[in-house]
Amino acid sequence: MAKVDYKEEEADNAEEVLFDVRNLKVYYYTLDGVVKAVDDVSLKIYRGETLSLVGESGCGKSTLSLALCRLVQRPGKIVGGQILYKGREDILKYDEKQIQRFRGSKVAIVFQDPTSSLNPVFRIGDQIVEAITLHQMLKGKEAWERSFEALSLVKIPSPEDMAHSYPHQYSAGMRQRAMIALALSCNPDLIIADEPTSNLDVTIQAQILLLLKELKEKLGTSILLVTHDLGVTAQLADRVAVMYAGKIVEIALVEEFYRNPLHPYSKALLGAIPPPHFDVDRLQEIKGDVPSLVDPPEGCRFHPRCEFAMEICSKKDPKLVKKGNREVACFLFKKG
Amino acid sequence: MLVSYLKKGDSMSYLLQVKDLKKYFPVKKYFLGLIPRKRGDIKAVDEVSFEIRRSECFGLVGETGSGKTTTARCIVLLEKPDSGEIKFEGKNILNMSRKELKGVKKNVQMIFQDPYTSLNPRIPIGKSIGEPLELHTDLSSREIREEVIKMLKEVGLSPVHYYRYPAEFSGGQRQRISIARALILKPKLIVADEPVSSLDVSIKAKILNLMKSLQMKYDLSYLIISHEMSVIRFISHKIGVMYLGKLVEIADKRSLFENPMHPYTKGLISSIPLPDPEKKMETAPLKGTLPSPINPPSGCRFRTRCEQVMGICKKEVPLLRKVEKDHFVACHLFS
Repeated sequence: MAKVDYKEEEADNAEEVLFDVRNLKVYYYTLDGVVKAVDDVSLKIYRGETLSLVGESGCGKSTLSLALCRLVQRPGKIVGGQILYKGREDILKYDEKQIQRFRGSKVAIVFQDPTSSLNPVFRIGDQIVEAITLHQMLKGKEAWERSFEALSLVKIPSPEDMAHSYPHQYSAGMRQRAMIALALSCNPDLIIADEPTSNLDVTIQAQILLLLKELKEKLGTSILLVTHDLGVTAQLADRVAVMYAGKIVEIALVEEFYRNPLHPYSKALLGAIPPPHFDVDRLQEIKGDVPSLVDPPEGCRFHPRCEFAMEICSKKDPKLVKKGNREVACFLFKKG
Repeated sequence: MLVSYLKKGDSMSYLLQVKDLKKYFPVKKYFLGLIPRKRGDIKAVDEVSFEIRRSECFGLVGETGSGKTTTARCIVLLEKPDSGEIKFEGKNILNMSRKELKGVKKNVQMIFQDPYTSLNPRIPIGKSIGEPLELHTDLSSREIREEVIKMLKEVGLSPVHYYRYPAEFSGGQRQRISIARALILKPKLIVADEPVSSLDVSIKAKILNLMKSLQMKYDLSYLIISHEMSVIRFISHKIGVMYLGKLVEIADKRSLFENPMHPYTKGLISSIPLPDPEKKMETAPLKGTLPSPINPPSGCRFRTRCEQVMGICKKEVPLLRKVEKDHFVACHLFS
């Protein structure tokens, strides 16, 4: 179910592709200039898979995930491209009413900080019921029943009681569970989890990761996991997309990515994390800093920091090319 | 209490000795919103003892609320401990005169977690870095400037940054500035509270490498606090694991990771998501969450989450005992 063979583009069954992002551009119009947070990004999300979007802060991964439910706010704007939902409709062409129906019922987001994304003056149950009445045409008792189900799905003990508690009565891990329950309550096709565990302690993080893994298998929902943590990605994802300075530089199946990262940035990133399971003397460093997205380097955006930079890298922008059953945007790799 | 542990080795080889450190924060409840009444104590640090040798890096790990930061703040005297001893080079700093204390403070410096709030935004960073020299030495302002520029180069910044303000720097550069400020007095001990947790992966690698090479170069001792096991594993020689205000295990890096003994340490180590898709976690190693530090469980504080809990765990507080060479555990399984 999770592993979709995507060797041949033509073979892609339109039903298997949940989201098809084509040449998406999201820019922020700030006083300092135009920040090209997502610049010409194409990406497919398949049904039932977990795709992890990896990158450092400011690489555009959160912006891309917000764009998937058209939540980019001013000064940001989606300036080009298409987001095809189930191969048919372009959600960028939806009117306000359609997109409101779309959010929550088709795509739901779990944010990083559950404390600030839950309303402190409403009971957890009220907040879940609100989403259910909006999207599922259920009311009163039925909606509450549904919210208990959602809470028990994320393993909150005695959901009937906990639904009547306020967010401050929950612990951090429980709040994140409640957020996941809220996201799941309307059976969306895709859950966007934006750094779902980075505010949590390791032991709680492990619990949430296992919960997400279990839910994915049980419900078959696709998950877009946005994270900077390569450990979390390895544990949860089926496929990995690496972003750097507004571009996707590599897409690969998770096992292949960790065994043999192709793009020099992916390699550098994997070498830079302190390994938790063995000892090293020094960590690999990536020279230089992340470039400004107002005025990104010409050609390949990674070339000023790349060990393997060639002449062509500073002139031409590498396109994402297929290499076996993975994709990489680097001149070191030729199509095939 | 932990005499057996502390008597080992002569005291001069230890730079810092912490003995039975205790810090409680009172929790007040207001009667009619006016009259304060004590409701209890948050037992943030409860009889913690450990020691740091010269040029050793000691890492403290634990979950949020385990008392790591309070321990560090007590050592740099940002908090006044309720009881216990903190000996720096054999002398208890808790009953020193102000004059003596100044000498100690020169040798103990701190790096904070958030490089955005720990630098004064209105002072050029060169001045910020040089300020400790003004207070602790009688160098002329020109000499101070030279020292600062030397230190800027040392941490990977350039002399042109001297007159710039913190707002002009990125997070990684600010953390370099904090390191420069801590190092300028050539201290013997640096206390670093989550020095890299607000930084990105690639910047984190650079700062960790920098801290490691500076340690060798200046023969520094570190007390590093982090909730990330991988960071602690990379930088420390010796590791202490804290749980709810108590130290539950102290060991060398190697023996802690290869042979963790306390059930909590075991759970903590196997909770780390490994960056290897072929080694997937199957079950959550630790269930439940940290109990309230106001009313901690009786006996062993970990017993409510422990899978190997026995009858004695409820009644008796386990003491930190030597199990192997340089490996101390506070658990009834090993007594």
